[in-house]
Amino acid sequence: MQTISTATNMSQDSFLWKLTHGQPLVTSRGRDLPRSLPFRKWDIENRRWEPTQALIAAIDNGNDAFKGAMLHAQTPTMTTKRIITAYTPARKLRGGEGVVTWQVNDSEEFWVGEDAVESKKVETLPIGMTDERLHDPRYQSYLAACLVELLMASGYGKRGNDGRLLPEWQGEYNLYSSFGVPNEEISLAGPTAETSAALRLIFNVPFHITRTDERGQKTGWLVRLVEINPYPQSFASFASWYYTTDGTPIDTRIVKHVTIDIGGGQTHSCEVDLIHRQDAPIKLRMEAKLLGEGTISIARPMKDAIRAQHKAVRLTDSAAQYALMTRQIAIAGELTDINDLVAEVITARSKQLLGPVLEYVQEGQNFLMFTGGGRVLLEQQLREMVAPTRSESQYLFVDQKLSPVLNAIGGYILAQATAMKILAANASSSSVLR
Amino acid sequence: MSSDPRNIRNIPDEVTQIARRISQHTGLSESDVLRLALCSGILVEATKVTPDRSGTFAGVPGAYLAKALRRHLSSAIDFLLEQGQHPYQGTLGTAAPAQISAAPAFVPESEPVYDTAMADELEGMGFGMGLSMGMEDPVGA
Repeated sequence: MQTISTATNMSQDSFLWKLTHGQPLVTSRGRDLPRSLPFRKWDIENRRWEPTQALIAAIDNGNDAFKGAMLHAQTPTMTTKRIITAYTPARKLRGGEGVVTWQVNDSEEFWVGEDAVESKKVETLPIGMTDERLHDPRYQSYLAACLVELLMASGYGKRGNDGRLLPEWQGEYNLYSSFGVPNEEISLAGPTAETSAALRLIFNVPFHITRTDERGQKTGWLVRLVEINPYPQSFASFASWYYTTDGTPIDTRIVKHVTIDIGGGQTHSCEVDLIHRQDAPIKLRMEAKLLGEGTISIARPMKDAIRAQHKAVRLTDSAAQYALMTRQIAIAGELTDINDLVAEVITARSKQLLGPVLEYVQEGQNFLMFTGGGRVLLEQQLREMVAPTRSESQYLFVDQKLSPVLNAIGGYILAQATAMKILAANASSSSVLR
Repeated sequence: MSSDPRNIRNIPDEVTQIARRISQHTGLSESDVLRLALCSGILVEATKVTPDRSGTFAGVPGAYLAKALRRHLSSAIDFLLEQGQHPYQGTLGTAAPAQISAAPAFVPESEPVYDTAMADELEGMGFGMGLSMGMEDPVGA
């Protein structure tokens, strides 16, 4: 049965279709997808493994932002969280609404994401390859805070009748995770030695997290990554297009799928050959390429353009990316629209960013899928590129809301696949025991 | 049964009014209505907590909780279906006629079936190799 929709080129059975159309994420038999699995955690004090029930989660460790995904605790929906990669030590506020403040293990108190950017004192966290980032203890603390935000958004934690978290100990959360890394850090043999070594810095490490909310109420969490499955970031978007909620491939006649993933730091292509074989499942072959910088190549010139107009305004990279998204900055204490300036810089710089994408558009034998935060920012320019040579069935613009977090959602699908293998093994061993 | 009194505060007025109406309709006392609501409500609340280390929900095993809940929720589920408000109406095969053909049939099963083809395919591509594989003593910890 051919189920590819000609209007959007998405199979109605795919994860991506269900997410785009807000359908419940259940299997074709109406069953809930697994949220957790029996696994093991490392007991650091007694130096031994202990059994635990681990929640499935995905982390896309982007340069511009943390993107996390997990199924909601109560509903068959995917919860995603995107938090700008920004960190600043917390300051004492003397009045007004408080700021969500974090402390992880013995760290200093700090703010993350938009709160950090808006403080105007944001510190730059390391960007680049996984092993260039995870050694920084501030980055580890930032990551732990992001995981708590993801858990909260997914309905975990102890809540009162008003739905707010109760100001108390929230419990221990052991996460069976997939972890998005730059495509070039993974080969057929698995992750590189440097990447594996870097990920071990956070593997099974207990993060004791104190979160103080805007009203000053404290909650305590213990979060541990009991499994980390590294995956290539851009492939995950393809996975959401290609796999169904049953964990099987969609029925498709497409033979070459190219994901153009325009992220904050970098732009990647991910080419997947779907090798159709007679009387055998489709075989996949994947190749990923770094095409150049992502939206940072627009944010930086925008920062310079702002500085040229307003000499006292100095934005960090993360503040510039945030301004690009919100199209507002504070000038002399006043929030000011910078729509015209953003449009000007996009016009001037988008050709440079999208130059390497053009060859994929002109190559007429592939199917193109545009995703990432930059796909939203540059939609008009991308549509102008594809319109002259392609019909609507030959490309796909991922939904605006899903685009910035699709690599994390795909990561969840990948984590779930490996989790299902463990569950299947457990089920077969328990049926033997009965 | 515990006999020590529990003073429950902050019950919204609307809830008290509904309880009063049920009481008038059924002949049960208001206290009985509230006690029944607490019994079924607490089972629903138990489904909202994360399973603990032994896999129970607030101390109640999942299979037991499911059986207990079924008795309490069947009338509510019937009502939601009747009113077209069930969140999985499409997948239950009671959607509008146009949706029925596309909606998968709901087949209750005793045990889930896990398809491992995707994991096998990913392993062949170099993905899905978790750090815990073959690791006896985690370096990070």
